[in-house]
Order: sequence, then C-alpha cells, then structure tokens
Amino acid sequence: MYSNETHSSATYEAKLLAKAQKVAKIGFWEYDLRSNSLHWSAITKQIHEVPESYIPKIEEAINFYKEGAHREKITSLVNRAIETGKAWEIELVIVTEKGNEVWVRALGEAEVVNGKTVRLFGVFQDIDEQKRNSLLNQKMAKRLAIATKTANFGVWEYDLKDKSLFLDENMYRLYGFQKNEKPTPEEFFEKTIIPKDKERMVQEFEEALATNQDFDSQFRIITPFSEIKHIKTYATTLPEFGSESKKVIGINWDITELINTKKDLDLIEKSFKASFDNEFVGMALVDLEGKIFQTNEALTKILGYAKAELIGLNFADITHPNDVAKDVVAIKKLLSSKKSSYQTEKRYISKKGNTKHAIVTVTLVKELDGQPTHYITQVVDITPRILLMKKREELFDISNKQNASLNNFAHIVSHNLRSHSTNINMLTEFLLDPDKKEDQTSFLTMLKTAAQNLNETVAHLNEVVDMNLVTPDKLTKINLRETVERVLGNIGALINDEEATFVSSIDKELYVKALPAYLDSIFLNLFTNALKYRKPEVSPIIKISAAKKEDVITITVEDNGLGIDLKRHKNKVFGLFKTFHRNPDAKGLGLFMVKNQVEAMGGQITVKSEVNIGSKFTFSLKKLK
Amino acid sequence: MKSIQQACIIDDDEIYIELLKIKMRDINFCEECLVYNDGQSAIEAIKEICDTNRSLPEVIFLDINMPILDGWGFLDHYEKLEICKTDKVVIYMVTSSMAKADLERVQEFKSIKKYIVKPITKEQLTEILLAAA
Repeated sequence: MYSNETHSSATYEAKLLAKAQKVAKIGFWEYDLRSNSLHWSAITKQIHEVPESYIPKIEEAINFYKEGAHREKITSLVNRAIETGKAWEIELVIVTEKGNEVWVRALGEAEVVNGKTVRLFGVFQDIDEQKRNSLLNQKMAKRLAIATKTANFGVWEYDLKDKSLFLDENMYRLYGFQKNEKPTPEEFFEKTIIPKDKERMVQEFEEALATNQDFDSQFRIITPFSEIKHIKTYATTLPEFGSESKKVIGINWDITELINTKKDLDLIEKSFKASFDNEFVGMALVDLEGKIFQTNEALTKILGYAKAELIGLNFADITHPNDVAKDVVAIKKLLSSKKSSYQTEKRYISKKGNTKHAIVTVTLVKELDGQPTHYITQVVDITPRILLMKKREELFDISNKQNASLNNFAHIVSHNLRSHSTNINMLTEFLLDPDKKEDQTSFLTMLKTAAQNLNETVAHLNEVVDMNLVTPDKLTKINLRETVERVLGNIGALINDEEATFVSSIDKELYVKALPAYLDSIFLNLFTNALKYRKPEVSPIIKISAAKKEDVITITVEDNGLGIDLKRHKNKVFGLFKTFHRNPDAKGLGLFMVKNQVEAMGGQITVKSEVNIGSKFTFSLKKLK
Repeated sequence: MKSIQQACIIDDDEIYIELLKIKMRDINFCEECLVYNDGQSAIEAIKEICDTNRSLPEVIFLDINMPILDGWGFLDHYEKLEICKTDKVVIYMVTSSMAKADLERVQEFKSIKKYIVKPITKEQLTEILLAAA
C-alpha cells in the first residue's frame, strides 16, 4: 500500500515534473563521450525547432549556438568540462533550425570516472521571453536614469521603519551635497529647507503620511553655497511587500528658473500694461497681416481716428504711401532675422489727411516655440519736431543762398563798377595828357558813354538789391491763368510784331502763393526772352502749362527759339550779366532776376535747352493750401 | 624799341579797347591789331588763321567776362589747338576782376603768361613788348 502509494505518488510526481518542465520549457540532454552519442529530450528538440525524429550530433549541437561570442563561449565551456569535469551554467543565444534567435539557459555537468570525463549531461531551458524582458527593463532603467538626469529630477527614498534615506546622484547635485556626505533624514527634510517654508513643509509631509495620500508640495531650500532654490516635490507611499515597513518614494526638481521666469513675466505684463496706457506713446497690437487689433488712447490722438475706427484697419492704410514699401522690407527683414524688433522713422497719414512723422518701434512677439504671433507697434509722434526742423532747414537754406548770392553780388558789383571806373580813370588820364590834345573831343564822347554805362549798371544793381527780401507772409493768393493773360496783354504789340503764337493751357482754378509783381516780372522776362531769342526764319510758338505736384505747382514755358548751348553755359544761364547771344539788348539781367524772384518766393527754376530747337524753363511755386 | 607784327585784343568793352589801342600806339607796340568782342568770334578767327597758314598774333590780351564764350571758354578751345604747342603766342589775361577764384583758375591754363588787372599801364605794355620782341 505504502509502496503502491509511493509508486503511484512517484509516477504522479514524475508526471507533474514533466508537466512543469513543459511549462517551464526545460529540456534534457546527455552526451556519452565513450560512444560519442548525443541525446536530446523532446523539449530540447522543441526549443531547437527540430522534428522529433532528429538525431543530434555533438558538432551540430554546438553549431546551433549563435555564431561568434555565443558559440565560442559554449565551446570553451564544454571543452573545459571535458578536461576538468567542471560544470557550467550560462545564458546564450541559439539560432533554431527555423532561423529564430532564442535566448536559452544551458546547464551542464560532467561525470568523471577514474579522472576521465565519460559523460556530459544537463538541462536546456528556453528563457527567451524572460531574457528579453529583463534586457528591456535594463534598457528602460538606463533610459529613465538618463531622463531623470537630464531633466534634473532627483529621486529619494525614505524607509519609514528603519529611518534610512536614499538619495540619488541628482538629489546630491540638486541639494549641493558632497559625494562622501551621507545626509540624515533630519538634515534632508529639515535643515535644507529655509525657515520660512520649514514648518508648513513638515506639517504637509506628516499629514500626507497620516492620510496615506501623495505628497505634493513646493518649498525653498538653501544650498551649502547659500543658493536659494525653489523645489517642487512629489512623493508617494509604497507598502513594502510582505513587510510592515512603508517606503516613501519621491522626486524633487528645481523650479527656480520657472518661478523667476514667471516673476519676470508678471513684471513684463505689468510694465507692458503701464506702457500701453502711456499717454504719449501710441501703441497698437498688430496681427501678422498688419491689421490692428488693439490700440491705446495715445495712438488715436496721434492719428485722429477713434479707437473703434482704428481697430481692424491695416497699418498700410494709415501709412504714408511713400513709406509703405519701406515697411514691407523692414517686416520681411524682421521675420527672417533673429532680432525681435526694429526701429525706424516713418510717416503716417492722419484721418484729416495730414502727414504725421513718427519714430516707430515694431516688436515681433513669438510663442515659446518661436512661432510669431503678432507685433507690438510703438509710435512716438515727432511731427512738431520735424516741422520745426524743416522750418529751420528752410531758413538755413535761405540764409545760405542769400549769403552766396550776396557774395556773388559783391563780386559782380566790384567787377562791373571797376570796369567803368577803370575806363573813366584812363580817359581822364588821357584828357590830361598834353600829347593827346587833338583827341580830346573823342575822349569826352567816350567819357560820356562811360558815365552812362556806369549809371546803367548802378540802376541794374539797384534792381537786384531790391530783391531777395521777400518773407513768406508777403506772398498772396494769385490766380495763375489770369496773371499769364494779363502779362500777354501787356506785350500784345510785341507779340503782333513778331507774329508769335502763345498757347496757354493753365487750369483757371489754379492758384499759387506768390508776390504779384514778381510773378508778372518772371512771365514778362521769360516771354520777352522767347521773342528776343527767336529764330529769324521761324514764327515763334510759346507754350505755357502748369501742373499740380505734391505741395507745389510747376509752370513750364517752352519756346522754339535759338536755344542756349547748355554744355557751354550750364552754370551761367541764370548768372548776373551773363549773355549767350550777340544781341545788343542782352544785358545778362533777365534770367538772373527770374531765378532770384522764383527763389525768393520759395520756388526753384530749371532749364532744358538745345541750340536751334528751343528752350524750356520750368519753375515751381508753392501751392495754395 | 622794335614793335611786334601783330597784337590781338579779345574784349567786349568798346571804350576800353579804344583806350588800350591808344596806349599801344603811344609806344609803337605793334604794326597791326586784331579785335574780337567775344571768345567765340576770336577762336573762330584764330582757327581760320591756322587753316590758311597765315601768321598768328604774337601777343593776345584776353578779357574774362564776355558774352557767348568767355575768356575761360576761349582758353579751353585754344589749348586744344595744335598751334598752341608750337607757336609762340603769348596770352595775357587782362580783366577788371580781382576775384580770388579767377586768380586761382589762371593756374589751370599753361598758355597764360600773366594775369593783369585793368587798366594796363604804359610800363606793363613796354615790358610785354620787350619780352615779345
């Protein structure tokens, strides 16, 4: 009974073992060195993925191990067992008959008879899944270690029962502990925390432990280098399996930078709000297309639009047309560069149509990922300053010009008066010369001419002196067409004599700011010049036209006369006492007067001319606003 | 003192020309005197003299301020002519201008012998004659 029982229980156990072996994928093998025969159990064959009928041979068996380190290792282990009878246990990779790589645990033992190994036997287990999982775990643990290191997560573990504390490398770094230090829990939990946060922190921790809840807190520590750090902690309590003790595992990380950044951001936000409400600097938030979506009081004042009108407008709509292209270039440059803002001087057009000069700072706002979101545009109105500067420049220009013309005038006076005085001087010398008594009459005649010439020159110079003294407030509103018609009427007889044709195409609504006497004189000079320097064989045709420009009116008088050789006389056309034709009437005064009168009224004059084709004088005058 | 064959006055001041001529006669300056009232007619005449192979004036009195082509313009054209390199024409710039700019500009022209401020004195004329003869 007993034996039966024993027997049956032995059978049962053998069955159970076989089952267990199957489940655990454990096979047997045996190698008899004397008969050189190798035996594999069914499971061993299964692991090698060979059929049941397969009869293994020792060389083939070794070759199932993966070529290289694996095969070399098993070869050396088997050889060592044969030579010394030493057992082995190792985990290696085999390549099955079907070509699959499988991790196996191979165990082998030697049977030694009379100091000679006669038999090797062992077990062979498929551990592929476990092995791969454990390799994966190792890999993941390594990865985690790298991750926590780079993320600067410190990991700590506190055993509540034996009060032992574990701190990882990152914790040491975070808290500034030395490598050889071994901080006690008390040192770690209390001494590092700054007094202000300590009590709260301790209380929170104890509460979390008491209620078995996760510990999630934030506090400040002071490192041995007197550095204050903001630390965020997250910890959880883990019951140790099969043990009374409890462990708290936590991670701590440094959020100092985050806190500081947040503080900075708060500050920026506050100061941004303050500057946005600034009453002197116009500000707008502008989307990437240039559309205004937020603006402040100051900007509405500068541009004269109500807030509601301004929002939705594109900046290009309120930019001076000549500055739009410049803006586009600047924005493109900003978007493609690393800079976040640019500053420029530009012009806007206010609602009333006035030009507003401004210093503009455009700042590109980007998301954390670098994606631009919108612009902040700051506008400082410098129109009054610019206008003042322009006025100053104009005045400077005028005084410069007047200075130059005065200087020039002084030379001319000196030269012209000198030539007469020289002549008179010589004549009086001759008159007193006893050897020239018989020529006295002719000398006297010459003296008279010289005196007349002197008189004439003085008269001309007087005319010049009277000029140049026009201040802008003396300019009045004058209708251009009426002026031209009146001047033409005055020289009607001359026009008839010369059989000339004057063609005027001036709009009757065109007004200029001018001095009536000057404008008359300018037209008179240009018209009579056109007649004086006509081509002998060709009827003079003179065309007069006018065009509106931005803030001036340009007037053109074009003839088909002799023309002036500009290559030769370029700088002298408008010079005093400069003449270009052999005309007895030419005094070199007319164009000089014209130029000075135009400039005295704030305008400019230019000439285009070609010999035997004609001349074209173009002068500008201020438009009446 | 030997007089020169031909002198030339380029000036637009009729009175001055008459007076200079009288002064020249007083010292027997030249046998013959050419007069031009502007640079343009003067340069044209000189070109023609060259073209017809006649002899050029030995001394030229050149004014600065003249219509059409002034003294400077005349010199520009004159210095481009072949003869100015070979012929012994002596040019005196005679003007009532005492402007510094004019005095400085004289340096640009090699063909100007001297800059004289009007009026030319008898002594200056004599000196010029001596130098030319």
